[in-house]
Amino acid sequence: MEERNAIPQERSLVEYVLRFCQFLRTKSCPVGTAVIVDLLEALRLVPFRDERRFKRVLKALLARDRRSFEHFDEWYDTFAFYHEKEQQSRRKERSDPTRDRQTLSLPSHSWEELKSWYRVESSEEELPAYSPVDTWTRKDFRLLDEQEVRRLERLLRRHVQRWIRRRSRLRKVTKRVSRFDLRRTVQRRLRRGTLDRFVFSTPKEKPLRIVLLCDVSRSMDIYSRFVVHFLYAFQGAYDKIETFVFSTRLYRITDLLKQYHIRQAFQRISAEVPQWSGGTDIGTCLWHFIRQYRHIYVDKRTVVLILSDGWDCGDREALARAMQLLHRSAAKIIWLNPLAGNPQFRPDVIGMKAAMPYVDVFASAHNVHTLIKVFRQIPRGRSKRQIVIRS
Amino acid sequence: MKSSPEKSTRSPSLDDIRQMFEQQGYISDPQIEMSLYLALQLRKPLLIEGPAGVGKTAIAQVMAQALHTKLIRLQCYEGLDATHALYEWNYPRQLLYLQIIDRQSHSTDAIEADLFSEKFLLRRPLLQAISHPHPVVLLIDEIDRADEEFESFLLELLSEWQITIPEIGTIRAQSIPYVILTGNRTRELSEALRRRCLYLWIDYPSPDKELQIIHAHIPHIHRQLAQHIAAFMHELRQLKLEKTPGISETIDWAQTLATLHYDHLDKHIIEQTLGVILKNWEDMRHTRDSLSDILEKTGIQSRFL
Repeated sequence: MEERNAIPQERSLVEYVLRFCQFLRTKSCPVGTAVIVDLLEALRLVPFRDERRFKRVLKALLARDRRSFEHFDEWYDTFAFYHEKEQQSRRKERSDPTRDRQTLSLPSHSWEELKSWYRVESSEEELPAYSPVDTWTRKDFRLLDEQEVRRLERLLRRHVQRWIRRRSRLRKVTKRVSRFDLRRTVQRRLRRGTLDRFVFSTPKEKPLRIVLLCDVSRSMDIYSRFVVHFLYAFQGAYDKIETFVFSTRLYRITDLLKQYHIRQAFQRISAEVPQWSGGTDIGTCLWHFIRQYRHIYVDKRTVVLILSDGWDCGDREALARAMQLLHRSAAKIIWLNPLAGNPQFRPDVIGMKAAMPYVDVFASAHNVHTLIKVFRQIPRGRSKRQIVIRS
Repeated sequence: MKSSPEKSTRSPSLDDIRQMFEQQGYISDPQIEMSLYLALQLRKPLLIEGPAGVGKTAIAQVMAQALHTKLIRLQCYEGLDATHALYEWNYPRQLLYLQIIDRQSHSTDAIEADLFSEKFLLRRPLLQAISHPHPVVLLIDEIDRADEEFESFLLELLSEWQITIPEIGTIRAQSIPYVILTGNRTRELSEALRRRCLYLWIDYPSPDKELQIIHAHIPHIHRQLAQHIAAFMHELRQLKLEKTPGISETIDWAQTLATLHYDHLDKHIIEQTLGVILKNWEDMRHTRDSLSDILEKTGIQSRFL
């Protein structure tokens, strides 16, 4: 790659940059028009001689979050490589059409073709294979149609009221004449110098927060319809919830779920989460969560819900330690395992075994009936003994 | 490389920035220099994110020095609001003033006008920054700790560059400050804010870079010791720790060991001084357990083995 001269001439510079921006969009790194204007301005300012410097300018302007910042060099190299190939083939075609073209695998492409080619190359998507596990559970979830989802959502809304209305010892000022607050009235008197009005206050509400970590690896594939609806219904019913999906990596999808309609939301998620139905590494994902999100989203008022079958190919030790940490910082941990609906189920998958000691409530989430029981558990305090819900 | 035609006489060139970093003993890298340079040239806020203790705040300090201007810092925290960020009336002083003046000889209007004049206005960092006659460096530290409401308020300020105080009127910015925002990712920042800023992610340094940093801060440190520390810190950060130590911990540790006149690292020394870099009991235990592994990986030989 050293000998390539990817910095284009002045004339084609704008085109090159625009193409690169388009390429970035396929990597779900959004590039707005305003940014491109800034970028062209920046390129005018910086006397770039070498490609590295050119790349730095692009990176400074186009990468807008950690993910794109870290992948930027890689993306740029990929782009530059294929761009160069394309240019070569064009040049060859133009200058010497008789020369044999066997060294080049890429004939002259239109941009659209090229783009789709990059895309195919980058995401090795496969169709999920049929897995003949527990046909009876599958049947359950197939029944979940749009109406069922709406029912689930309604059900959630009802329970949610209880999670919000938890009272704190702190009080907040209210205009309604409810309980007279002497302390605040005296404070006001001191500040104002006169007693102009009385102050009333009510207890502050201390809503419960929920973090939902959802396994979307291949072993969970047969429940994916259910998972999708569950996530969406949950996010729609309660706004103090943060949703993450994981397989070998962890993704925060709260905003996506909030912004879009269910079908669009999941199209976007599956586009942005390349590991959807890949392998599972629960331990690493939980560590990722602990490092980056625990201090934001988890406190003593947070219930952590993990939806996973516990099939894990990662480090068992890491998983146990992560669970221990989470257990200590959260209000309680609820593990939903759709497999547990089967009467023959034993939690002896490696991942499940490692996590089990730190789980407060273990439940099968294979039908709405058990889910309701789980919802009842959510606002309750942590009990000393593990609660198992299976039916 | 020295000069570009568009460059104004006052704003520093890419080389100036590099030199300034060197003079301040800040070991930067080309990407940091480029982002800072472009932020200055395009007059855009620079949003810097990264783990704790990798020198995000230090960049603003270097920038202020490079531009020979003041650094105004706004430390964000949960519950920060406009009265702490922007302005507040000096109530005690107003009260005193009311007690002192002779109410007979002043009209009520005059008193009121006096009370809400700039004399009684407490300027908080944001107001200070925009009312400064020359552009200053405004550091908005740990923006992610502030509430989302504050973030949107800040957005408004960053685009309009004016503040309305009901009693006085609208104050326009006399100069537009250079803005640096830092964050630890304790909360996802809004897209709107990201769109308006240039973005820079600073991660933990490579062992080589960390070695340079150690030498820059503690010039008299033994070469071998510095190498050991850099290698050890790199391996330590690979462990799954609850609180991964940053560069400031490295510097503290190097300082400690240099003061104790050590010229190398071994298991015994590390165990005794681990408290300088790890501030969490669990982490310490975890590290002690895997100390031999780390030492093996870094190639530090223990004298006592």
